[in-house]
Amino acid sequence: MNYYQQVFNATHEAILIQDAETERFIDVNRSALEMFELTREEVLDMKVEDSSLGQAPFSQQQATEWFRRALDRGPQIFEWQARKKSGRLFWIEVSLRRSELNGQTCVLALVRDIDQRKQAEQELKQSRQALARAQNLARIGAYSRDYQTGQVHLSPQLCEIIGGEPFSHSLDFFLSRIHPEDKDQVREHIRAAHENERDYDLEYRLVRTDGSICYIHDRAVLERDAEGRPLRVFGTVQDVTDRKTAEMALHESETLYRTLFDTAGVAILLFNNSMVVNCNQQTLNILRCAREDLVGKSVFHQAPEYQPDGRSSVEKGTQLIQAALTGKPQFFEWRHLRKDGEMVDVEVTLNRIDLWEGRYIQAIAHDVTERKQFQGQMRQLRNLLKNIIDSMPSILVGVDSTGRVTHWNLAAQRFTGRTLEEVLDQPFSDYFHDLGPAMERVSAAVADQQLLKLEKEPLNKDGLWRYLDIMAYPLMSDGMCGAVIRMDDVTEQVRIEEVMIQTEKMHTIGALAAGMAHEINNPLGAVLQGAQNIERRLTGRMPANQQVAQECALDWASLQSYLHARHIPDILEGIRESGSRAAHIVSGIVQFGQRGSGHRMQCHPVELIESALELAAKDYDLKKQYDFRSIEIRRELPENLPSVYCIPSEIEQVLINILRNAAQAMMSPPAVDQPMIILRAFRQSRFIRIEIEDNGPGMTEEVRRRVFEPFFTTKEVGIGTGLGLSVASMIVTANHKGALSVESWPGRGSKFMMDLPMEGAV
Amino acid sequence: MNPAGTCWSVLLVDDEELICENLRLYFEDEHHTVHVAGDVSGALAVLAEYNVDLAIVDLGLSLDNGEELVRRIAVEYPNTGILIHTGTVRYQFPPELYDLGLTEEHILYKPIQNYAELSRRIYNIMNKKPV
Repeated sequence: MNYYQQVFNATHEAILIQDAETERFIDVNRSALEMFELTREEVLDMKVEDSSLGQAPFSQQQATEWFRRALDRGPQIFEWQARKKSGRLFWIEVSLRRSELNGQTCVLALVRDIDQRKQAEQELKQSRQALARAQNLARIGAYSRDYQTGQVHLSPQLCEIIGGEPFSHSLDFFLSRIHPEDKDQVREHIRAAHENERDYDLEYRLVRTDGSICYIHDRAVLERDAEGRPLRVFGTVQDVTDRKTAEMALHESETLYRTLFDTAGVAILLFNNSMVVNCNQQTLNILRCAREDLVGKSVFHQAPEYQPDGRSSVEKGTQLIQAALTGKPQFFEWRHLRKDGEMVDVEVTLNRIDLWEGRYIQAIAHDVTERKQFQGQMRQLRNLLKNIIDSMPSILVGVDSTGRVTHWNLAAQRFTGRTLEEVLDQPFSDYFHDLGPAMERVSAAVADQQLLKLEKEPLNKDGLWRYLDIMAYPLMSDGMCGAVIRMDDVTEQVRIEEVMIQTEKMHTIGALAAGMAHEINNPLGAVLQGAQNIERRLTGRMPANQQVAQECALDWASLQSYLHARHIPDILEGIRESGSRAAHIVSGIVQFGQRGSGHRMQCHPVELIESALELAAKDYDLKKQYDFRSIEIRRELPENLPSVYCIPSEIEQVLINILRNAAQAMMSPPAVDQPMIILRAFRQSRFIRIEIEDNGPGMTEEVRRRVFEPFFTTKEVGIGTGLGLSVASMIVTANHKGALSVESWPGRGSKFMMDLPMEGAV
Repeated sequence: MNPAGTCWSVLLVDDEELICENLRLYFEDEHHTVHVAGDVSGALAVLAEYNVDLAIVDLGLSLDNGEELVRRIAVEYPNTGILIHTGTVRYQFPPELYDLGLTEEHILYKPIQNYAELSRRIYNIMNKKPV
């Protein structure tokens, strides 16, 4: 071993020698063998590739390129990723150099293990990248300034915050971007920090290059020398725009809700487990108490023992709170006791609120005391109005513009038999359709908003004729169009008018008949007396007759024969009879017109009946429509009845009335086939019972019950007055202390029964 | 001849001539003396001049008051029988006539349908008078 050989092997650096021609290793030192963990033989037999990463840029191809370059252009130094025999990769620095050894051209490779340095470099790079990434993510920029050298460093992130390429801005530029309004404050803050030897930490605004404004958080650390003079400043700048905006938004929202809470016109109360946690000013106003009377106390603290609905306050309140806690908002009325003892009614909504600090119940309440009072007054007023319109005898119906019922008073209910609930919102004409054409006019007036007044409109209600005065007043209130329809049942008034007309007529007829009777009776007297005088002088046995006949040379016997042969006495008798009949009729008419003026006397019932029958048969009104003689009259009248003490004309009037009704009933369509009236009279205890039974249509129970009511009639105006049977009843009961009643079988007939006391009974 | 066989002086007061005439014929046939007057003054003249036994007075004298005549006869000639002859159907006495003793019996309604009835009435009146 020569000297160089020893140096070669002792060198710390690995040395490998390659043949320039073959590129094969021709010698290596010990350090190389240790470095690659190979034997000398193994090295001499291998290619570079075998101890390299084996992939670009550390493959055989790249190795050969470096080798050529070292041969052609001179020494080459480069880093290479190598592989030990164990397979571990490591970094080496290779220095290739052309060399002549023993006349043979070769390449000398000096190799240093740089793996540790390389790794440290790698880690530093990664950590720098991580920092940059973190700064990017946190939008944190950094700066530093050396007060001695004046060297300034702005991080790329800081440039990015300002807006622009990394490394594009200077410190002056950065300072110029501070928002004008914040500039003085920032300057002052930094000056104070320097003076007081403090680090600083402040937030201010920057105007970015695109004109937008961002908020930054600037934190800086000052490095000082032994005398406390600042050497360097290191600062980080964080873009806190998002946080700042959120903070401001939160602040605004907080302010907004706080204002809402405090100035709300409703009471807002927050409680937790029935304990009041917070409340607003309005709560205190409504409950007239101080905050400390409420907050920290139970919500039931000031509740009365019972609520207006009779439930216990605690029980009701607890139940409502429980219900609200399930998440279902609760709405109810609540009575609260004020500190001064006054009651206040509130309307409350309970809502569950889940905050991070726990679960609360929020109560929103407003004072409804006034509204309640107002409602009460309204109710009273409405009741008063309802009572007023209900106490009106007129039918009052309120309708909207389409004629649907909105109001309905008691009279309307009585008249139609329908309640407001049944008719509300229904067309009112449905309940008065019997009015026929008048209804159409009313409906038209309502639709046209016209005032309408109708008088005495007939309406057939359940077979009875009623008369209505109808008024439709258009009504306009609160933009609602409609009408009030007023109807008055003027049936009785119409009947009274009819009766008055009838009475007047009767008086006139009575007076007329009396005058007429006098006028007729005189000529009738002359006729009858004349006829009797003729009879006496022609056929009488007066001596003067024969004497005068003799003086006239007339044979009395021949004259008599002649007169009889010519039926002269019969003719005279005919005159007398006719005259008598005329006299009877006249007397009948006058008596009819003067009814009631008779004297009380003993009368035989059968005579009364016969007399009534005779008068009924003469009834002119009746004759117009019906021939009384076509009715079969069946008499069941015993002969030996006691007499009754009565005013015969009045009892006759009663009987005529009943007979007339029977005849009218039987003749009204559909006419009865074989009309018949049965007349009975018999003794019943101390009364004489007279019965008049017909086989007419009879009457319903409703009509039968009311038949003796004054002005009750089933006949049309002009036909009946509704007084006939009521007067009859009055005559029998009041004037004669008797009784008048009726039985009826609809479709089969009616039977009137009159009981009159026997003689001396009154 | 009247049933009593007596002859009376009869005054007929009626403005209906035919009534008077027929009654006159009847009374003459019955052999009574008949005076006829159409009004109150005529009647009073007859009453003043003759001794009238029976006065048959129509109430409805066209110009005069028959009731007044009846009253005066009843008061001034108490021996004269009175029969009121009227065309009205039902006659109600005024109280003063009622007080003078006149009753339903003294009323004869027109028309006289049977002289027998007239005769019966006169008989009753003449046998009861003075009123």
